[in-house]
Amino acid sequence: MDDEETLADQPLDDADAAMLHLVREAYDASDPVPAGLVDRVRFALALEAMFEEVAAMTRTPTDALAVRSGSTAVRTQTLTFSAERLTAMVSVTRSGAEGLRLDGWLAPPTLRRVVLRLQAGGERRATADEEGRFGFHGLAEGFAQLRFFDEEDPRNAVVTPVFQL
Amino acid sequence: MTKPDPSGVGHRPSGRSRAEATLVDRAAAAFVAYREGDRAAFDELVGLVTPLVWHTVRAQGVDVAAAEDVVQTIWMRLLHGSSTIRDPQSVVAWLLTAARRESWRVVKRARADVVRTASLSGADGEPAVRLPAQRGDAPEEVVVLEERQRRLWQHVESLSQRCRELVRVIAFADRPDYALIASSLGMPVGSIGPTRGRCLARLRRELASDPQWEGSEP
Repeated sequence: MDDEETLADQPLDDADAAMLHLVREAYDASDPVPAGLVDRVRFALALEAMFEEVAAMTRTPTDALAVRSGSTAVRTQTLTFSAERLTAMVSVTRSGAEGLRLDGWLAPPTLRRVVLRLQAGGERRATADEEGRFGFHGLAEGFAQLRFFDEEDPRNAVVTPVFQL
Repeated sequence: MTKPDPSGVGHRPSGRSRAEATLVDRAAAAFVAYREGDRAAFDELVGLVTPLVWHTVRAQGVDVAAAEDVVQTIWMRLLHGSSTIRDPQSVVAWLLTAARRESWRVVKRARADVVRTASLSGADGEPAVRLPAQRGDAPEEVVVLEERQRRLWQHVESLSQRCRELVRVIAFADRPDYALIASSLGMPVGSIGPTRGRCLARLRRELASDPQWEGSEP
């Protein structure tokens, strides 16, 4: 049997390719690229391309704190997004036939113009109140993205990553 | 100008496609087309390289939900910083390097968060990767395949963390691109070059010395 040094210095051959093919299959089975990830990235980038200056918010992992009530009719999920000068908390409630409700809170309450982009197409707009609260009702499931901006200066904006409604 | 292959990631385990454009070549071509004003070419680039970015991020121990965000973040960063990349041929290397750095940042932050929220949510020790459980009623052929995968898996798992990462990511690349990808992952180029390199040699030797393993060895 070849020793490891010798093997390492030889050129790659078809046996390596076959071995790597098996490795690839194993990872495709155990940890595949999530279905739809590429589309979600494209969806997020379509907005980014229009607003090249916007700051991206990152998701703070509060998912562990998602509230799941005993009733199957209502489920609330809370997400927190943060950028340098803005934090947004968003909770999504599923309430049967009325679809989804999104309640949000901005701190500090600057950038009060809110746009919710929906994967299904279209946008919904809202303005946060002086305490930074805003909401959307009757939403369908799918991927969404929030953009917050300043009315006076629309380029002063931040966007969240795409999240699941 | 050649249009990049819209079918997405090339899948050529036979490696007999030296004349064809590799993943890195096709990514570079899409990137050039984007910079020349073809917005759709960026979407092609995303389709081509996302699998490599995904496996790079997951190999750093980032959980699935956070890995999705990291992948998004990296692509946004490329979109914003595309003018800073001088050589289009290096766009894949740029993406993998950025993906590793961002992953480390996220892992570090997640660890701090776990410490902070441990009392609320309990520790979350999700292993980086899990093979699916064997199905009891699977046809024999599937069981044999699964058994083979499981055996290969054990050997992959026995590699060092660095080797595991390298093997995982290059498994999704084309052979002529290995050296470039290896160096993007921080493995010295000389140690792999046009040659097999230590990580693949180790895996190959492990398989060769496993009496239960048969097949692809010459």
